[in-house]
Amino acid sequence: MPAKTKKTISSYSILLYLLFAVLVLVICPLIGSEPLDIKLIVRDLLGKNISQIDTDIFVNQRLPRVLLAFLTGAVLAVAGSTFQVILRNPLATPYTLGVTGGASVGAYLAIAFPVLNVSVGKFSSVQLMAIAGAGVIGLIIYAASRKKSGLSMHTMLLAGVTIGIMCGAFIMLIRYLTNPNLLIALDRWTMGRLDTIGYDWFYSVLPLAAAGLLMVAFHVRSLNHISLGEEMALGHGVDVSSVQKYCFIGASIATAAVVSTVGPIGFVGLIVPHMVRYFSGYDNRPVMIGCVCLGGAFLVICDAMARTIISPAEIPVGVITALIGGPCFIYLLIKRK
Amino acid sequence: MNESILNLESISYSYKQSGWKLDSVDLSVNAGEFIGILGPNGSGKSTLLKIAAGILEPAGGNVTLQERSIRKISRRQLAQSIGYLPQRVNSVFNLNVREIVSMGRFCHSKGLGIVTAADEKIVDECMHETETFDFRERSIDELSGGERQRVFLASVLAQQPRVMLLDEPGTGLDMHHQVSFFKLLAQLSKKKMAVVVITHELNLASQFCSKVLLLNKGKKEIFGSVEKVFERIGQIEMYSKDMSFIKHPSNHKPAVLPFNSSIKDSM
Repeated sequence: MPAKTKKTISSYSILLYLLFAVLVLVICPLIGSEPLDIKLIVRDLLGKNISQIDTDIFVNQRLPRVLLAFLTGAVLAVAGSTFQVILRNPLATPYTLGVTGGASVGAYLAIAFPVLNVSVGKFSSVQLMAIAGAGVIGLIIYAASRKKSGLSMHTMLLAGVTIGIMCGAFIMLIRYLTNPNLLIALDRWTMGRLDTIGYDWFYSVLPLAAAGLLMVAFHVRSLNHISLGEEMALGHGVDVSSVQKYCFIGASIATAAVVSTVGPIGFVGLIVPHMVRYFSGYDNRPVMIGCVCLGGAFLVICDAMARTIISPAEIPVGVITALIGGPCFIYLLIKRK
Repeated sequence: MNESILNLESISYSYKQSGWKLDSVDLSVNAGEFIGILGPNGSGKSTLLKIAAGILEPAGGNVTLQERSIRKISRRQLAQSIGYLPQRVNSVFNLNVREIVSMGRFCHSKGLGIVTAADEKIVDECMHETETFDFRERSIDELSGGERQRVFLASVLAQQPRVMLLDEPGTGLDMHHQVSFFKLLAQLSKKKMAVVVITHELNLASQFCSKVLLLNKGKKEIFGSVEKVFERIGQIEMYSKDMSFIKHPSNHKPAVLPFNSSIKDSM
């Protein structure tokens, strides 16, 4: 692509991302097995009165689901992009460092052993255990990677991958020991789910996800320098260890928050950052905005497909993201070659 | 006497695993100086430069920037005075030349770091100085090794530092570009800043540097004028073996010619 054309696309890309996200957020809640009358809903909402079934479906089923999907997609895309930069590995995903493995072990324990069924406020036992699992693994990886002058990204990557494999072994053990009747529940969690009713899930995810995203956003400018290597970044005046630390913590917290609730939905964190870089270049400031908008929109669209393709039944959203994301990623790879 | 900018006093450092040591090295860098650091592989040149740039913390000794310990200066403030170019820079993502050079303005900007018109002007000047302006919109992956080095130098120049510390910046450059690169560094040192450069190109150091520091096995051999240092180099076996030390025919600066002793004189 000629440099001038690429620059022009990049300049308008943020505006286009925002517009696309708004369009998806407006249109997708109206899509589903039950057709909704938009006029009726608008009239009801303007009267601040939820009296019609359509309005009830829209407000209490479709909207919270779409918002949760958008938040999840945005978090996974931003976390993926962040890990790709701090680990200096374009194939990194929010799941590379094993934090998701920890969340999965926690969630599996909560599902497989009902004795652990304790909920606090809006948090279910699965969410709590998953967050605890992610936290423990995050701390182990952080401690293993610490060095005198900050964090060793090399050790972090190796420790993360190793711990991820160990978590996989724990998951197999839990599956082996659990009551066979509960296996379907374990599988369902693994495939990823966004079938929420009401706003409890969204509100339980929001604080941690927002805190994590803000931590990353605060350091997004410095991430550009880290892509040139630690020494060059230090020479430019970037406090590399602090950026690595806060970005790791921020991306891990946000990922843990969404994964604890919706399960490990794959491909969003890998494909969306690369898609955004394809359109807007490699400056992490527009890339992060693009990841929020396109990541969110991508998962909302995938979820709309998941609940309509074999309506009234649903396909797990993780299946759709992988089936769409995989070919898209390969297309981008071929195109870039 | 020129103003002292950077001062390294009794710097020592050791690598735990290998036991290798940098032993009590001093270096004083004054405004307007172009200092070359020479020495065989593993003599401690890069370690010393990293300590000077605040990348590594010395085990002993002190680094002061205009009489202030660099430990007490924030990383961003330090980058406003010290520009550092490492030996190898690998960009994981395919940034374009202008983006990379603009990154040098990081230490002077705040918040989201929007590049202002004044920053743009400085970035353009730096690209002109390093002859990278013509390919400013090209991706770093599309450039040759030498072109990349010039881009990274432009990025360090954009910091507008008082002293530039460059670790083998001539690597990957052809002879013509090495000479113009050193010419540029010499000009910069005369105009605005001090330049410290690690190089294995003894002849370039002789032609362009105002002073030379010679390191050997983690210790300072000699620091001083080109003539004095080259005299000392001639006494170190590792350097002097198969080398002829001569005076350059044009300006009588010391020069070194490699010499294949197995070839007999055919004249």
